[in-house]
Amino acid sequence: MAKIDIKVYKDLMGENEKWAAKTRELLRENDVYMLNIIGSPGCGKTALLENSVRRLEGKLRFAVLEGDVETTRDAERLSALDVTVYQLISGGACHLEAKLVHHALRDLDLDNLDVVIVENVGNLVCPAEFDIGEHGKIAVLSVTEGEDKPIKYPLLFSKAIAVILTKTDLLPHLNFDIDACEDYIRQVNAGMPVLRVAAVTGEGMDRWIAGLVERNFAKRI
Amino acid sequence: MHEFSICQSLVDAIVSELDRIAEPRPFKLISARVVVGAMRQIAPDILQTAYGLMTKGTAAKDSALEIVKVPATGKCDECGWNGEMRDAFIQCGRCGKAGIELTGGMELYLDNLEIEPDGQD
Repeated sequence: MAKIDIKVYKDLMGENEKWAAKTRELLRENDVYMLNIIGSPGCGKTALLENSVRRLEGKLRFAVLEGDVETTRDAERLSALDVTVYQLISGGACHLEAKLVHHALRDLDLDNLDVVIVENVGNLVCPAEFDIGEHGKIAVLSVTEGEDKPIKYPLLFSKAIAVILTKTDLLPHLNFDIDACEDYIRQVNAGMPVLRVAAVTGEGMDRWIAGLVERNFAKRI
Repeated sequence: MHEFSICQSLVDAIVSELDRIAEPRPFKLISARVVVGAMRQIAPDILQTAYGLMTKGTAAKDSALEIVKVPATGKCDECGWNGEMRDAFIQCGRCGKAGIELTGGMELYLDNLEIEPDGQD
């Protein structure tokens, strides 16, 4: 019997995209700015947020959605401070998908928030593939990692709206060439804003905080 | 390992397409073709494994998955170059400008299904 060909042409990200679109709508209605923070395990995402909470007090009302494969440890770290934190457990999945984030957002008091920060599951690959309806992805890379990570994981570093290089207080002890790293970043995205931050000492935090307040990371201060 | 969640969307899409087929009945799915852009970080082997596991017990069981990779292409607003990019560098193939506009490479879609009538007739 003859075989029959059926043309389909169906986008496989369609379902995720549907939820991401709903989230964009929800954020627009409530004038809430949402960022999706992506970086390896241990790159300092939670430390960055801990420091941010203190600096944003009285300036900006914000909430954090913590994505982890298991445990609520990161959420506990942050909820010790004065900020609304929800834990999203991906249950083994290596990334957050739009549907889970959307449902968590619906539970937040969006009327009384300016910014929602989603800390994605620690991973440079998978979270970059999934749009969760955010205004922008922030790539976080610590100086204890390899400076060539941007060209090894080009998708994330080309799609992000800014890159944060963390733990810069450790630079004197490392062989990390931070200028070479910035060059690699600009090889995948020529206009990428790069912020150098040490959350422990607070160095460089001002530009990150100003970016959150102004919803723009391109400006140098 | 996001291949498993992508595979779930793939299997859902195939099953819903197969549901809509009126003629011929009964039929058997021979193969499904999926198009994946080079900028997508998808490991074909893992996608194949996921496909074998996740089609079990569905209308797509025992079918083959054909994965077609398409290259990352770009357009340079500096020199007007248009073409296929090498490696991970999102760079102009002529003047070398970095971070040029991607015109292809993010594809991820179910392209077509091949079925054949199943049964005596």
